[in-house]
Amino acid sequence: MAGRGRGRGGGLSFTQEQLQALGIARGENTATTLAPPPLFPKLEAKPLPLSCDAATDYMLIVKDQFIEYLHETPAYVKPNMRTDGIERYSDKYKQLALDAKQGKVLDCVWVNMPAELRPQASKLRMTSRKRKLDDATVINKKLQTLENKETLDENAEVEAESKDEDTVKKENDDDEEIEDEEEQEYEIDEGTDYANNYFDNGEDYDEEDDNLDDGPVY
Amino acid sequence: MSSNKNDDPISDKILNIAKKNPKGISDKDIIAAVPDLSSAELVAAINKLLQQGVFDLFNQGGSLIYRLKAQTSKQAVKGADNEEKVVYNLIEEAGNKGIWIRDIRVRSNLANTQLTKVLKSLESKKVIKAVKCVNASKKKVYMLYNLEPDRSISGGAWYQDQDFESEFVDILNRQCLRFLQQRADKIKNNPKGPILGRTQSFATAVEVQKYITDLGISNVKLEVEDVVTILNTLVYDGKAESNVYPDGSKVYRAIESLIPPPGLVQVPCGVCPLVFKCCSTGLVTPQDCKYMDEWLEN
Amino acid sequence: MSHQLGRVVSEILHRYFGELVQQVGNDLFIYGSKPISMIVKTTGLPRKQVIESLRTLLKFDLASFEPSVHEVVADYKLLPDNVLLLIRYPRYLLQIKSKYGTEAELLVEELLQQATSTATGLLVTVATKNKDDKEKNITILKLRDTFVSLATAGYIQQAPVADTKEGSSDVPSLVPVATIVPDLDTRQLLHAMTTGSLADIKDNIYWKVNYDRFHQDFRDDIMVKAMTRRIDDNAGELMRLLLQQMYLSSAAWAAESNPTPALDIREAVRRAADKSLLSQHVDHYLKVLEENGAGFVRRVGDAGGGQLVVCGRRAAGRLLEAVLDHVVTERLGSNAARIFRLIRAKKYIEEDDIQKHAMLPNKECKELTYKLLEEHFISVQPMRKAASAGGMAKAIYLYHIKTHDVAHTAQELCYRALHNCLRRAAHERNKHARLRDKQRRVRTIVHGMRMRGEPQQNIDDVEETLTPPELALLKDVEKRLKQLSAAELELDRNLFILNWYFMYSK
Repeated sequence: MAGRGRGRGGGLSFTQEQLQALGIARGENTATTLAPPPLFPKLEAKPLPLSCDAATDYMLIVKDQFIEYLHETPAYVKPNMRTDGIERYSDKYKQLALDAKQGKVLDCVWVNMPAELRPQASKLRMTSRKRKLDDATVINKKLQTLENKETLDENAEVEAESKDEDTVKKENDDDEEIEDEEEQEYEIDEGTDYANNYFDNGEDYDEEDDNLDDGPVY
Repeated sequence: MSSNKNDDPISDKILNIAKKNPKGISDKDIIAAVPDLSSAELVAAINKLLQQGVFDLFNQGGSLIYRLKAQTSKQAVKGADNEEKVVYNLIEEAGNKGIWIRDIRVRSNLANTQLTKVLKSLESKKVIKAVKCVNASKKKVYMLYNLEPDRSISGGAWYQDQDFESEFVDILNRQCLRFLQQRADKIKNNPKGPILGRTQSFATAVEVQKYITDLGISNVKLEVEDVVTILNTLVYDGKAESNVYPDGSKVYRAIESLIPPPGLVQVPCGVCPLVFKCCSTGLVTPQDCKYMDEWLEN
Repeated sequence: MSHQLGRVVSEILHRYFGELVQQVGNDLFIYGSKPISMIVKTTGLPRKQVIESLRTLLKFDLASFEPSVHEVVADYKLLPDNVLLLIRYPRYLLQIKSKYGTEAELLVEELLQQATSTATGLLVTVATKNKDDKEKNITILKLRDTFVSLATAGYIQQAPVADTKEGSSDVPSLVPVATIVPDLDTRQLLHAMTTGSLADIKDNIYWKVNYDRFHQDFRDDIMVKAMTRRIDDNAGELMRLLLQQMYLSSAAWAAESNPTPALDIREAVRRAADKSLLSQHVDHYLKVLEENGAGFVRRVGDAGGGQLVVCGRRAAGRLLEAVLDHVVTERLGSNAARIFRLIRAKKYIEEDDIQKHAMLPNKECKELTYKLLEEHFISVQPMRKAASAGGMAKAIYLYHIKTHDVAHTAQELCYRALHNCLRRAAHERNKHARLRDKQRRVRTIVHGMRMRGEPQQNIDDVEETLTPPELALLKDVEKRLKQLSAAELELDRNLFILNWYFMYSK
């Protein structure tokens, strides 16, 4: 009992004599056992052998063919050309191959897709929106609201404020709409090929690095 | 003080059978138990026991039947003090299941030291004995000296001095399986039809018991219920299924799993002790996994 | 949806469609449902590439969409279960090839590659691709007949179409349509073959592969094989016939089929007649199947010579148990599996009783029980006894198995294993990318030279640019990749059983 108490208080648990009595010579106890246990302890059981027959071989071949096929189609979306800062002879050819593929658009049933994904979508919508702004009726309407406001201001200051609020609110709505459109347009701009080819925020470079450095090779 | 312990082994043996057959034993039973005995020795032994008042003698259908006398407490603890009598009674009451020392203390209302003394005294007189309990190794129970401990205390055939004999159980498990497997294929494409085939592939516990006994691998006599216990481990191993015959007897048949080993156990991750620590980054990853390395080397 | 599922799905998308689709897929997996602009914001990818990725996902039915609050734009949602099916494609092909032959294999392969296609488009494409292959001798007429049988048997079906009634065409809503087996005009097809143009044919009905029909086949196959293992070939065959009968009157995945009269089964056996032993002893086989067939089949009545029911739910449960038994056996040893089965058989059991029935040494038994508990294969339920006299009240602990939870544990394990195989394969590919690239180029060049009939000497020279150590390394890498790929197929089979079980427990 007493021993337990002392152990808790810290300090040596055994005196030198006690250690010697146990057959441990001076300095011997610190020598070993400092290595951590292995990260991968020995497996107690091995996995069972993989079942492999002619059918498996067939499936493996078919699977590789399917993946290879996908990689050749636009379904496999490739990032824009990345450079690692070193010019290579092969770059030119890689670029050519990439360009050839980039021209292609994935073959889809477009009516079953949301309009925003359809190939011609961005162009159509941009032009239609421009037209909307040019539209005489829209301009007229806008002018009219402004005019109304002026007349209101001039005329009855005492007149129902609620009405005034109403118009202001409506105006705000209009403004928001315009802002919205502008924002969308900007996004679409980003989507054109031109912007893409120039766009490089530098992050890509890092990513590439990460992928290459997948850990030590054994 | 009559001690029913005799020093010579012959009397011991006779007493043993007598204990197993509370209804009494005949001369024949005794001869069967101790065959290498001359009739003179036998007579001497029996007379001695009768003299000691261990047996009652009956005449049943023309043959003599010896029956163990019911031991009354008065006889047993002749000359003992009151405390001993109380403790003795409690222990006798408990029968061959024994009684725990704590329960004796609670029920006898004796102080701890006194009780220990009483028990020691009874033990030294060979009136009671202490038996270690198999399913709680530190628990000791007391019972009358001449009693055979109950299975729940001794563990039956599977225990040797309170130690579980797992190797023995393993061997029996394998032998039983072998027996079932020998007839398992009888159900497959049996020209006489599957029901007959099934009957041929079934084995009753009695059949298995006979097979095991004939093998001579056990020096303890295995009862049918012991064999049933083993057969049930086969069922829990998924290697046998049991059916019940219309007459209520249980039959066993060797079976295979419904499916071959699934994909999960064909890959290292299925048996990997670290699988729950495995992440995309860090020290344990599929890319740097030593188990994967080994597996892919083969 | 679990984190582990997300990890697998991510790796699959990377393997099949590249990094960008993977990123978009990940984003959708994490956030559930969102519009393009939000995907652009969180992934930081250019809008154009997000659109391309979404097209890929939608085309292969790996994502769905619905109008968002703005009506003109859509919210997109990933369909992780369908992503997992990509790994199963080879099995679909194997199945259809062994059941319907080469024509069917070519049709399904093309349809899987195209995701959706019109009947005429599909037939003409396949016929054109194979018209020079004398060995296979593919004709468009044979293809057409095969197409019709596949459609009749339900292996292919009409793809959902955009609902024209709804006003907004910006975000169409897709509705499933009943499949009508097409009547394809031979002359038109032949004409299209000769001109090589589809312009003259007006065909706007799109078709796709019906995965569910294949899954029914896989399910049947598992059940038949299980009965063959448990009883014999004849019992397996009888199971197959029972399933066929079941399809006539019940939904394919019914938990319990509608009762089938034994008379019909007998009739079916007589027609199938090549198993003489089976037809001799049909009734006996039915009885044995019922009594020793792991509960796959159940007798419900005596009308019509006995009424039989196929118990899909119970079969799935039993097969799940078989999977779990194997997993416990391999992970923790056969004694742990004994305890596991014992607990399952007894439903609720105390620790002492486990030791008694499992016939294991006390210490080992306890250790294994705790290990099972630690890995979530079993659960424990403490029961407080009402305080009895003498303050002896002690809680008892009842061990039991929450099958549904354990099935989830196994599923998570499968996802982890699958992810790890894919990840490891990607790593191996990456590590040796340069060398594999070189090999590919050498092959292309050599192939070109052979076509041009250049002298063997020159071809050898090119081939020798790959040094023997390089060739040895390549061979080794190929072997590793093959092993990992085969493991993916096996894990998918494993997941199939688990998912079948979950189908009934939802």
